[in-house]
This record gives sequence, C-alpha cells and structure tokens, in this order.
Amino acid sequence: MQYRISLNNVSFSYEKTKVLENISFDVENNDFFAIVGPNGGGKTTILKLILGLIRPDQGEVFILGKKITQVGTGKIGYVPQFSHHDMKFPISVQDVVFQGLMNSRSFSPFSSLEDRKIVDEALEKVGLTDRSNMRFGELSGGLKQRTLIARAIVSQPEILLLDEPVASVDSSVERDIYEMLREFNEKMTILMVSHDLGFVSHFVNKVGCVNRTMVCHNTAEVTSEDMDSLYNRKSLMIKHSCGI
Amino acid sequence: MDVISAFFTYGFLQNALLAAVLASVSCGISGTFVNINRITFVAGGIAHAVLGGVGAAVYFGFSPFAGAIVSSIFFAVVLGLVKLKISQHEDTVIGALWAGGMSTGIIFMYLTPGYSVNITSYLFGNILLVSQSDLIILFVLALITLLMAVIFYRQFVFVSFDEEFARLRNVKSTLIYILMLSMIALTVVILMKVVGLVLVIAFLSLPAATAALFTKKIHLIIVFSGLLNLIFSFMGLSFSYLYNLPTGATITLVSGVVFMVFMLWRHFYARIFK
Repeated sequence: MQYRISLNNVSFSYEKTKVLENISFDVENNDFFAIVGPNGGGKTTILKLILGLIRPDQGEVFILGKKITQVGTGKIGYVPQFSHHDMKFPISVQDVVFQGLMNSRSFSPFSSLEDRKIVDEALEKVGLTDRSNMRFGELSGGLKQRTLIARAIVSQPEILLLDEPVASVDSSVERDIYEMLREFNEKMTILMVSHDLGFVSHFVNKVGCVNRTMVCHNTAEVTSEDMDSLYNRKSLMIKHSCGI
Repeated sequence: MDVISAFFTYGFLQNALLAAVLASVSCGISGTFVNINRITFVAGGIAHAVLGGVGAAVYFGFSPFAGAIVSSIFFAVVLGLVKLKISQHEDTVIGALWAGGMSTGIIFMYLTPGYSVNITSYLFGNILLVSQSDLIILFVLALITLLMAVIFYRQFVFVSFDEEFARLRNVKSTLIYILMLSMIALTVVILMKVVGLVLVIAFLSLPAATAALFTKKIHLIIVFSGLLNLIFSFMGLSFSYLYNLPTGATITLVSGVVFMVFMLWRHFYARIFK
C-alpha cells in the first residue's frame, strides 16, 4: 500500500546543531496525524522537509510514493503559523486565500470569475464568507488561522500540513478548528504539529512524539509517562517500539 | 511673475513638471512596495550605491544615465540575494554595499581628468536642468516600471506577504523579489534626476507612508502616493522658484513636512475623538 507521506531514517542539522536524528514514520491515506513535542524539538523542521523547502542530510522523504525532488508540486496544502506574517500588511482575506491558487504564471492583476468562485467556496468552508473583504491583520487569531486554512485547501490538495494551528487561540476556538479539520479529514490526509497534546488527542488517530529523535505511537492514547519521557531528554534513550 | 504663469512661460519648468509626472508614476508604484515590504534600508542601499556606477561611467566616458541604470540593476540583484540568502548580519552587508558603492563613485569622479564633475547634481538632483533627451529616457524608464508593476503585481504582493508560501506554489520567489527590487532600482534612476540620490529614499518612502495612513488597499496606496508625489513635486518646484531654493531639497522637505503633519494629526485625532 502506498503511504501518503513517508520519512525513512531522516536526519537534519542546522549548521552544527543536529535537529532531527533518524526519524522514520509513515502517514496513511486519511490519517489525522499529530506530531507533538517541545519547542525547538524539530517539529517545524519535519514539515519543511516534507514540503521540500529543505533537504535532509540523510535519509529520504516520500510524498505519495515519490521521492521529493522539488518544491511546489501542488499536492500539499500548507498552513504556516500566522504569527510569522506582518500584521500591518495591507491585504484582504480573499486576496490571501487567492494566493493558494496562484502559480508562476499568474500574471493578470485581476482574478477570473471562476477563481473568485473557488475562493468563495473555500471561504465558506471555513466560515469566513462575511469577512472576505476585511484586512487580514485585523482578524482575531482564530480567524487568521481559518484564513490560512482556506488558502491551503483552496487548491484541493490531497494532503494538508499545519504548523501549530491552535497556538495562541483560546480553547473554544481550538475546538472549533479541530472540528473543522475533522470534516476536511474525510477528503484529505492531515498532518499537524503541536507543542502540546491538549484537545488534539480527541481528534487524531495517530500521534508521533518528536524531540530530536522520535517516539511513535499507534493510537491517540499517549500516556503521561510518554509525555514525561518526551520532555526529559535523558529518558529519551529508552527504546520505544514504533509500530505504525 | 506668479508661479502658474511661470510654468506656462519657461520651457525648463515645463520639462521639470513633465519629469515630475513621470517620476510620480514610478514612485507611486515602487514606493508602495518599499513601504509594504519595509525595505527602506535596502532601497536606500541601492540609491546610494548607484553613485558608484555614475562615477565609473563618467570616468570611462559613458553616459552617467547608462552607468546609473546598469549599476542600479546590479545592486538590486546583489542586495536582493543578500536580503534573501544571508540571515546573519544582513544589515551590515547592506550598509557596506551602500557606503562602498558611494565611495567608489566619489573616487572615480575625483580621478576623472580635466572634467570637473558636478557631483552635487547627482547627489541632490537637478530637475530644472532636465533636457528633452533626458525626458525621453525618463519616459522609457517610467514605462518599464509601469509594465513590470502591471504584469507582476500579484506576484510582487504574494512574495512580499509570504515568500515561503509563494515558493510552495511554484512561484520563483527569488526571481520575483529581484525583479521587484529592479523596478525600485529603475525608479531610483528616475529620481536621481528629480531629487538626487541622497534624497531618493525620503521621496520614495514618504508619499507611500502618507498614503498608507489613509487606505489599507495596495492598489489605492499606489494611486494615492503617485498623486502625492506629483503634488509634492509641484509644491516643491513652486516654492523653489518663488524663494530661489534648491529644488530637490525643497520637494523632499515638503513631503517630509506633509507626512509629519498627517502623522501627528492621525495620532492626536485618534486620542481626542476615539
């Protein structure tokens, strides 16, 4: 069976600091997979490797059975952390979402009627129809997140990657976002990273814990013992069985 | 003679006004992208380093315009790569290129034999000396920047907002970023004639910053800042004609004062009425 995403003994270093070491895991069709781990543990680096933005020092990354050779294949929708954006940037919600349809040949300063329809549909799916003309920076954290999710799904990708989708939103918003992702999960495979498990355990079917190396789990049941071991580097040496 | 009839009487004032109109078109566009990208420092680097190209052109007997165009594109490419690829000490590298380019220009002009180069005309502009042939070059440059903006508008905005995501959408974001800086660089060459290299950065950023106080839509910022550029140029030209002041500095001072007035007005208006 073909995995949606597959990492095979992947290692990566920034300069001389080893961020990831021998990471292996597979994401199957329609998984809702969460990678959890402390800040600086290499979670975002995993996403960048999957996106092809960086190359592993060692090991291989496969998307839909193919080894990554370039960025921008259009198979993956990506939701970055919204806090990375300039909040004063003068751009409307619908223009942000439209970016999800753009490519290197988008030369017209105007969008076609067809594209506008597709953008409207994506905005409707995330519940932002009545805010499409607002400035992105004016929105609350949760709504910014929804905008970036709409931008990621507007091209109808097979895989959706999310970087800390609920960081700096309150818990009711967190729940709403997960409910929404669960609906999308019927049509697409989802991989997200998060620094804490929280609510997410009720929604995902697989969890991988990362802190430089990987501790894998079959189910969403992560015991407190596992979390302790994850946040304590010493006990990471304990061998866990990876049975995904 | 009053200002209005002076504009009708003197050819040099008409040329100056035409140059200002052409500059406003490019400046409205480029200034807006400088503003939304917050790359005043990069644009300043290009503007000052261009003097190196002007100096070299004068020394080797080429047209200063040609030197300015070639070197502005060269520095746009170099600074674009520095900005995107060097994460550490990026500002120091830009500062070094800024000062290095400028020093090269000064040395070349000093070395140019038997030709007393009027370096101040490049540093502070000489819009009153714009000739017919200058106007043709300015027109071509303004047309190129306008075309670049129309064709690449969405991609420029995309890369400005989220360079990484643009790459994921297969947009050649490094190339687009450098194209955007090249458009800004050509605007610098136009502005060299209008306000001079030293004052370029103020003239490029102030009208767009003023426009951005009033609208949050990029295409409207472009239109408003273009109009403001034109108004500031006309006011500056008039004041400099009436009171016999250096034109480039007067135009820039007008844009600076108007920006400050609106900033303060916004600041206190917000406090008193909200």
